[in-house]
Amino acid sequence: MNPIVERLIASRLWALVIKETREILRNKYLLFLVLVPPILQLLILGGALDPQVRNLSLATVDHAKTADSRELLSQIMQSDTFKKNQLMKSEDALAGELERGKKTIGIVIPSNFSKKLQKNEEAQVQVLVDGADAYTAGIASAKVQRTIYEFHSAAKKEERENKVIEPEINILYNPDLISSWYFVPGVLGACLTLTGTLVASATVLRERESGTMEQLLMTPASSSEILLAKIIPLATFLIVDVVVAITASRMIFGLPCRGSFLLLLLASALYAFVGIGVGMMLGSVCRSQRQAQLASFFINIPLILLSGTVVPLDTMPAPLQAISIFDPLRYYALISRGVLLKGATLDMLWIPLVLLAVSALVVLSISANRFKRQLI
Amino acid sequence: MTNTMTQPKTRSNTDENVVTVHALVKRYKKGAEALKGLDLDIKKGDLYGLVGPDGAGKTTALRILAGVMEPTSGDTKILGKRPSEARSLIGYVPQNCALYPELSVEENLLYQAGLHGVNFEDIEKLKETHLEKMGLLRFQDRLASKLSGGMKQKLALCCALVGKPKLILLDEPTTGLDPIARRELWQALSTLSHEGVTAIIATPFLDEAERCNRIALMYEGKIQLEGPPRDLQEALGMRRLTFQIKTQEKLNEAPAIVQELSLDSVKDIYPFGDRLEVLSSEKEDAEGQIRQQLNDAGLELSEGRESTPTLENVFVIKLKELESEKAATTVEFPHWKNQSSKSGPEPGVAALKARNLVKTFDDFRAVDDVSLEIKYGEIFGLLGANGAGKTTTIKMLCGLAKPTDGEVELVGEKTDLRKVSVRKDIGYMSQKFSLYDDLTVRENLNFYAGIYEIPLKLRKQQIEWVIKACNLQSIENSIVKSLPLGWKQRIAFGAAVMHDPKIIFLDEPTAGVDPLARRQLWTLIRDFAANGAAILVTTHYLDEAEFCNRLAFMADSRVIASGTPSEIKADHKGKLFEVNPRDTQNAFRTLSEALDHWRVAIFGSSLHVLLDDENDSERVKSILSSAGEKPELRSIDFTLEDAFIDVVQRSHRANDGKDRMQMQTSGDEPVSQKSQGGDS
Repeated sequence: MNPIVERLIASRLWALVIKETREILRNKYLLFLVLVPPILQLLILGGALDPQVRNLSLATVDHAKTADSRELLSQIMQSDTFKKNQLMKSEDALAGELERGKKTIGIVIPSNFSKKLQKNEEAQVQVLVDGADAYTAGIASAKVQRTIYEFHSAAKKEERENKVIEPEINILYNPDLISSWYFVPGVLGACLTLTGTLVASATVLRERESGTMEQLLMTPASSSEILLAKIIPLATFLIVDVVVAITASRMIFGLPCRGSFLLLLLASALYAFVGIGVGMMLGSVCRSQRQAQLASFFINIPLILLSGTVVPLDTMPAPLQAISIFDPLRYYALISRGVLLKGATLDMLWIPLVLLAVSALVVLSISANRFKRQLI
Repeated sequence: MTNTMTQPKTRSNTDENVVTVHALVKRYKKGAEALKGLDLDIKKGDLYGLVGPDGAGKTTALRILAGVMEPTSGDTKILGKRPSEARSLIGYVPQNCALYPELSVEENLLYQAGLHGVNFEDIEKLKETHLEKMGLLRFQDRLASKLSGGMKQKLALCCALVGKPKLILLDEPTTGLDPIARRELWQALSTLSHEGVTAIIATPFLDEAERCNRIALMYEGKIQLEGPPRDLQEALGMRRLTFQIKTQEKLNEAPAIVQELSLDSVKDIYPFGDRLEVLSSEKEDAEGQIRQQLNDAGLELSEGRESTPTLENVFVIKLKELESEKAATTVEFPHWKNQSSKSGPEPGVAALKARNLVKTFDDFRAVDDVSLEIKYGEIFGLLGANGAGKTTTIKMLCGLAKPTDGEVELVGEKTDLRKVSVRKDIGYMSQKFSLYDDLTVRENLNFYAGIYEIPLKLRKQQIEWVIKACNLQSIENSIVKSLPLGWKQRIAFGAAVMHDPKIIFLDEPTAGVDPLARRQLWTLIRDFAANGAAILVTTHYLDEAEFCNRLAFMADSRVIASGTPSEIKADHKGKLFEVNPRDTQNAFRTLSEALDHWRVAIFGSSLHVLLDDENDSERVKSILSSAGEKPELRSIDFTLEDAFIDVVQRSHRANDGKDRMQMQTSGDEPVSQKSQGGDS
């Protein structure tokens, strides 16, 4: 046997790593925790978190009943924002529908609608919006307004030719605005955080709860060996998770990988260390697995919310944006989106990559320190 | 072996029964059978012991009786009702007391009173009767979490009594209590049973079972033997011969020497720390032959003694029948470390020296001025109640905790006990099981061989030794989780010593294990000591302490007595007397009410009474005759338990009359909390 290999196999670290790996593989709960939730969460969140507003119900009262009014309504219905247009007899009936929450938006077209259009006057249309869901209401009303505006401009052709500047929007990287493309890279990071913290804290605390930790501390193994042996198999499992998740997203959501996959794996490994480090820290602070699980929510939820993976950073108030500078998930999301969607290369991403490495180092050294201090 | 025991007749007349159980079976979802057909008839006022090792099914049986668990099949009737319908008649104290730690003694009791719908006016009376009786009235404002183990158990008993139950069920109430707290609890139970309350007590301690008036020996979900302890001992039809052996070095060889005789009458041979115990059948007299044989082999004997077998003897014989125990094969341990190294084990050289150790947590002294020395080849026992400072002491001795003051020299190292080279010389088996549940036996052994860096070439040989010495051939590829406790303990021991340590720390290695498994483990421990390793062992079992060459008793953070078992037993100002009353329970109650309760204890059918001087015996005689018993006292030698109680009581009295409870309480919780805090 190669002497180096032999020394490796004879080492304490090897014994520890083998033991940790076997424990995770034997323990159904841990194995489930490592493999299933990340991929499941990714698929659910990637599919469900869709910021676009679709399939809203619309009610209209058309007093004009002219070709123009019908044309306007059909134009409004053309996009998939609205799914069904119910014609109502009166404003009262329409208001009732809105009040009961059955319709999101109502349009009232006055009887003089066509006449005013023909006279080239301002033709007024009343738009009633259910503002209870402010986000949907905003998008729906904007959509209706825009359609009406365009309809007007079409009617006043000469004016359009002179005044209206039609912006030509060119959406890059995700031209079809597929929301899952935006979410998957971020959710991938969130899953690494959740799984990393939970499993890492569980492996430490299981050992303490069963009394084997005390035994381990009496063996010649050093605390850094003990920690390293817990990190290595777990980080490997998490990287496997990333590969599986990206492959699955590619098949289901058609997520591209335009940059270097290796770069993405490097960032994922660094980020997995952060997650594991947080878990180890919880493992050395908490007394039981349950306590660690509860505590992990207090860490993970702000970590995810502040990272811009689910809520865009630009929409946050300035102080929160400032805090998010310390959120390593922010950098991981930045890198994974950059690599997957934009094909960004190392020279564009080295700053977040370094920041990620720094946070991994900080979290791991804090937890190693805490772990050592509990000994004596 | 022929079964010399007759099964005690089942008692008929089920009308009187408080508890009737027939063919009770409990199968858990994962297929494990906790109870395999249990039959019980328990009468009013019985103090009934459900005795057996961990995993025998005691807890399951109690939970079904309490109505908190449904059996898979079988009949259970409590005073003619199903357990779930009889709940108001039952008081149930589960294993860890089920008290609310953040409520005070009084609040815990009031809460239970509220649950049982006790009238508001009755509550004062209730507090008086129960708390007063248990000596808790003074502590009624103390939080339950701040009580000592013994007080917690008594409070839990009070809470269970609030609803005036006809039947109380206690699950291992004395686990973790010191002998004095145990005596107090048993006295309380004895009084209760006199008042007509029926009590069922699950316990793993066989010596305690002798304090019940009826017992069932449980093993693997079945009752193996049932009846009054005395009947069971008599039914065994054997004599217990004790040979005091002066030449201790040869003690380990003694069983083999006796076995050479291959006498049919000898059913069991077992060496204790300074003596050999032989069980022989009543008919033939083997004593002379054995004595001759031992003498011929060069063993010097002092006077032999004959006595009635203990319940442990009864159980061991029964277990041997069940397991048809393989003759314990001693496989020589393959020492692989260089024996000529500087601090190599030489008998007589100290492996561990501790001088004036002190450990303080905040303002509390968990360990106060402890000094001890353990030589190579010596088994040293550290005894004491929970909270006496044992665990903290062990942690300081092996380097897991830093002493506040004092110094430790461990295998020649004084400054850095956490050095890798030092840790390689230590074997350590913690209180809880140090094996990985999800790995197989062999994987566990491989792991420990790896972590101690046993050279690759030698690993196989060391692992094979553990497997052979512990008889693990058939289960080496089983997952550890599925094994019985006794096996796990032996594997854990093997794993802790495979690397050929010079000193071995064993923290309560035999808690909860059946007597046969305990013996097997002790055989291994003795072999290691014989090979020159120093061994430090802590234990709750005082009879086990007899296996040690030297002992130290700890109480209130200090070592209050030390020496060889014989020295400790001999060093007493007090006098110990044995009383053989007709009605053991009654005499016990009368005496323990008249004297300090810790002075009286039930040992089998007799009582041990501890008196400060001979003159007090007249008083005892008059108490006995007024209770309708013969006023006869016999002066006897101290057992370790009696010695322990005497020493602890003297130490308490020397503490300027400080209240014992108070000291114990303040000494109890901070230690366990802090020591947990230390390792978490």
